Amino acid sequence: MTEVQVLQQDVQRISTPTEKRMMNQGSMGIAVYELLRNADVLMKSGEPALALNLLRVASSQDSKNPVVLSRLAQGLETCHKFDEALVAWKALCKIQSKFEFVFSLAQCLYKLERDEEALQAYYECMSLVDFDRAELFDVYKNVGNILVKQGDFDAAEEYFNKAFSMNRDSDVLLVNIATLEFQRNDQEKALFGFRQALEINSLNDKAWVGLALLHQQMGDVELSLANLEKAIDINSKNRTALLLYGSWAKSMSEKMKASEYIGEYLTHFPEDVDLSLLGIQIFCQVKKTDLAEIELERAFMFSPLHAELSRLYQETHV
Amino acid sequence: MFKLNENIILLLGQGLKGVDLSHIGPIAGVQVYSETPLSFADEEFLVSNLPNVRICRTPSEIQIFPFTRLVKFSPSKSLDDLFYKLTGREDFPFVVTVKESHRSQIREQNSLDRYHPNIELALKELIK
Repeated sequence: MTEVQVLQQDVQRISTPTEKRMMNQGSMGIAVYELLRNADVLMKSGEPALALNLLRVASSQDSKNPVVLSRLAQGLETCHKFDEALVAWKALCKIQSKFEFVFSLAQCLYKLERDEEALQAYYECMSLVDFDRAELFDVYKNVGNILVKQGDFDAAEEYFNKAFSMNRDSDVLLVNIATLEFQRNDQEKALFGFRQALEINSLNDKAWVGLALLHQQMGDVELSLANLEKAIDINSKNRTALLLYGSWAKSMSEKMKASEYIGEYLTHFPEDVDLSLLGIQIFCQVKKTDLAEIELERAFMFSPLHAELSRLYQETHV
Repeated sequence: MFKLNENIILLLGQGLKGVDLSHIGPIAGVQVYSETPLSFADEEFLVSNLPNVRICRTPSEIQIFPFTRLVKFSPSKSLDDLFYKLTGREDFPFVVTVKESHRSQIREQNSLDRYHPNIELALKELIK
């Protein structure tokens, strides 16, 4: 059996109909097809970086092929290379302005926090869709989030309502809506939203952080710290909860807890300067000066150019 | 641009400051109602800029029919309620027009940086 025959047999096992069609029509070269197929194998075996190498080669051989570009962009996103993925999605949208591709472009821009561009891409998505699609939920939700960030609360509410009408059981959306109400100073609605989110998913650490913010605003510091503890129990890597807990802890026992939480976090994320600085401060407050010194030394080695760390280091090493 | 021969109700939520009337062309009839009473200067402005304008000083003065379009120059909720009370309908296709400078003013008031940096960061995280 020749190599071509083997490949033609493999075509029957190809995962996507588009590739199959392209291969049959001759619009995708055999070499490129083989690269994609091998990349698939690597991706499924948990080797996205190696798969990416093959996808890059495929792209260099056929840079205007939508299938290749889409797979390359997905591969880059899997490897958290969102900047590069963005280039691929943009190139893809220039070739084919389909809902799926524009939606992926918008999602990528959203992850990169390029809100204004993401908003335009989401609007384009809405203009391309002519029937209800599941992805529209994310479009409406994310447009709402961008508008909240921009301070346009009424427009944000409109999009959140659209998303809510598509899925009433999304705890993530309820947290988003409650955050909007928090910023509008409507404490009752915000409280209701965060609680509803927790009814749906009691392990939503963001909802616990939201409750903590709200209770802090209401003056119930103890309850807000308890909410933060719950968030940290669920997700010990929730840096927002840690930052807030560290800043709000007043009693010695709370500070001791904060020092333990932050110490644990820093073992996983040693390059987080903000948490390092907070950790150093709290270690000093609970008289763990040796830990504070080690943390300062370590953090300074990681970020010698950080102004605050540098100043602290100079002061303690005179 | 609105079509000729339309009857329009303008609901002004936040005075005339944010209203850009330049895109309203010659129209048959306009009724204007403002949440806050219009000043004499505002009324003069409307009368000189819009043909056949009818200023409604109370909601009861608004003539609901016939009109072809209701233009709400504010994202205000109370105007939604007013419209609902007047017509019993929630589904009227509102055209919300807020001048961009006005919108950016609202955005500035609501911007996240009015919070303590830690709270600002937390709020940003919650809406990711």
